[in-house]
Amino acid sequence: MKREKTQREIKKISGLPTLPGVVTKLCSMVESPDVSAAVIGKLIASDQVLAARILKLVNSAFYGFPGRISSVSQAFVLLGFNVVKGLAVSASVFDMMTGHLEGLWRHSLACSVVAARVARVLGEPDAEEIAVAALLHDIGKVALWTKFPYDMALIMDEIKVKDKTLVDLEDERFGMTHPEIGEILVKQWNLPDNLIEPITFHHQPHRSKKYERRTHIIHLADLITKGLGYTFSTDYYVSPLSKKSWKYLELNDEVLSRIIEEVMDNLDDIDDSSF
Amino acid sequence: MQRIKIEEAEEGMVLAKPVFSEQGTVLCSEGAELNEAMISTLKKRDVVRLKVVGHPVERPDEKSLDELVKDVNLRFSRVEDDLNTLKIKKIILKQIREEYEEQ
Repeated sequence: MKREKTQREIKKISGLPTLPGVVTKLCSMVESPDVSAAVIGKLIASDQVLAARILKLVNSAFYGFPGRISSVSQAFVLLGFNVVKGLAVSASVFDMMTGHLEGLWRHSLACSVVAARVARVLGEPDAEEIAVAALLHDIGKVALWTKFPYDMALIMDEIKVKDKTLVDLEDERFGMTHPEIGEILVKQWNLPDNLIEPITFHHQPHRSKKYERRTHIIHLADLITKGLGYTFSTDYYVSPLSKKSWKYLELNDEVLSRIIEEVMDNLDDIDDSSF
Repeated sequence: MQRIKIEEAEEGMVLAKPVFSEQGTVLCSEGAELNEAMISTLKKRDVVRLKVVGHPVERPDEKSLDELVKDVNLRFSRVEDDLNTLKIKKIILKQIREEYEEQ
């Protein structure tokens, strides 16, 4: 399949015909002084199901946030517009996934919990934004599975027998990879660069330019998530950690032990609750 | 050590780790033996999960330690020559073993 054809198909779904009206409206907005907690709170409150899901996410996936967040406007004040927007998009996009794609939602949720924990242990501010980038990091896969389920099923078989990575196989078949497709989607949704770059480069963190630290954190979090068994069918095998990530984040056994121990305490909550 | 849900807690189980409230204060300390009163207090304080000594709760769908280790090895089977990634694998295996083995 040619890159141009893949791009055309992906563009079609990034028009968001299937997303709830509230989310489409939210996506057309960018951060500005006019976008206040009251405005966003009111907009999202008009879709009660969505509001409830956002609150469930902030109160559990970001486990460790001090205190309970009880309203969307409170989430906006504490976490910022882009986190709330990212959560609304995630909740709605993954809502479209049923059947075996539920495993991808579980992987994404787990990755967001792990990324938040890595960020906190490494003393990174904005752990919640990093968690949202992690929640969205595989959004390109949702598009691929939705548009090309047959090809993805073939890749699933190929990956078992060939010693190739998912990204290589996607590139061969579509002329594009899921991180590149994710980038197209999140750009259309007007999410900021500090959320886009970690998604684009989560398999190649050395290529990140402006938001290196976040990108390395998502790359590491994705690896730990898979290592702990929160895998999704096409991407069962752990890929090597980028050497640059190890250096950049100044990792060592002690830091990693702390991260993994704390993460294992948090991850049970994912299995217990439905989102 | 085993991670259990509060509904699975029974009198006589021993805490392997302290239990904290949402505000971060210690509700029960490590080594405490659970009794009915403590369990109902923990439930009232919205505690969801505990870590107890040993492996007192049997679950039908639970994997054995051997199976868990085998799964980790399979997941990491394509990075056998990458030292940093193998360090992460080693830590994951160590944590899994620690959770299973008696303290």
